[in-house]
Amino acid sequence: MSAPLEIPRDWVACRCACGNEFQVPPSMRGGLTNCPACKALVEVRAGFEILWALAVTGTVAALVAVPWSLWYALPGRAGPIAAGIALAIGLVVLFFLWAGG
Amino acid sequence: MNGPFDGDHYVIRKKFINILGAQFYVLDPQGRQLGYCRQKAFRLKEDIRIYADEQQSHELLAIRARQMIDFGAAYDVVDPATGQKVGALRRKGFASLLRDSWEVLDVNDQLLASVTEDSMAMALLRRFLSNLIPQSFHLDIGGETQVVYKQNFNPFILTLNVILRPGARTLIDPRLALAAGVLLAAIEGRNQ
Repeated sequence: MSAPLEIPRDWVACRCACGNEFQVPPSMRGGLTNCPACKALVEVRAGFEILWALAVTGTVAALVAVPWSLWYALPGRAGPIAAGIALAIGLVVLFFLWAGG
Repeated sequence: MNGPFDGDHYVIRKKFINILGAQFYVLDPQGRQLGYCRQKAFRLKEDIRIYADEQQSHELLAIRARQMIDFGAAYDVVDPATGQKVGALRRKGFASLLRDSWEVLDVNDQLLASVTEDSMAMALLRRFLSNLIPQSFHLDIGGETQVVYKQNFNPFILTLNVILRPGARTLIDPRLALAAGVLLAAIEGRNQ
């Protein structure tokens, strides 16, 4: 009797609507695959994206830092106006990111 | 020639005016429209759909990114009619800094082919001298070029010819070859 095939520990577990459970290589995280049993399209669980986390952190930091520095750097009423515009642009970008995602 | 993927020569042409997100036409060499492709703007994950027409009534192919960041991202290519995955394309992030390089993967993520920019010298010229030099790529299987992607010289409208060599469709699914062309136009074209 042959030993069952070893599945590497880092493979990602997937569960199809048909009830079949199977594993896929970690490179497929966040992607699509077909269930080996019923051939239906199954979404593979996404992993943590370090680049995405850095991009979000940078965007949020810019959203705070740019209006804040404009507020204090520009004289008179120009500061609050420029800060407001910068904040509004940032919020619109965030809204589209959220709506599109 | 009956189906949209039966030909050996496709022309991917970017729409000149795009308000939000890029739009592409897939044409045959005579200029007849085979497909219409829309790349939605403001998507966290790239999601490109190829439709039979501009009314987007019949979806021919779906290309969906696995990651949110394009750098080194992989894209699954799915036939929506059957719900079957055709394969995947993965951008080699670091290698593409100097010379655009992609990997074509089968349904099990095994390497099937590679797509690379024509030459390192031309790639460097495009990056550091002028991006007006048209790009061209070749898809190789086992060291043999099976598909050629050749951009026309036109600084205003991106036009990419996808030419399958005789016998190429026995080695690679033409839908995957076309999806690679659409991604080259959409992702690498955007970088230009």
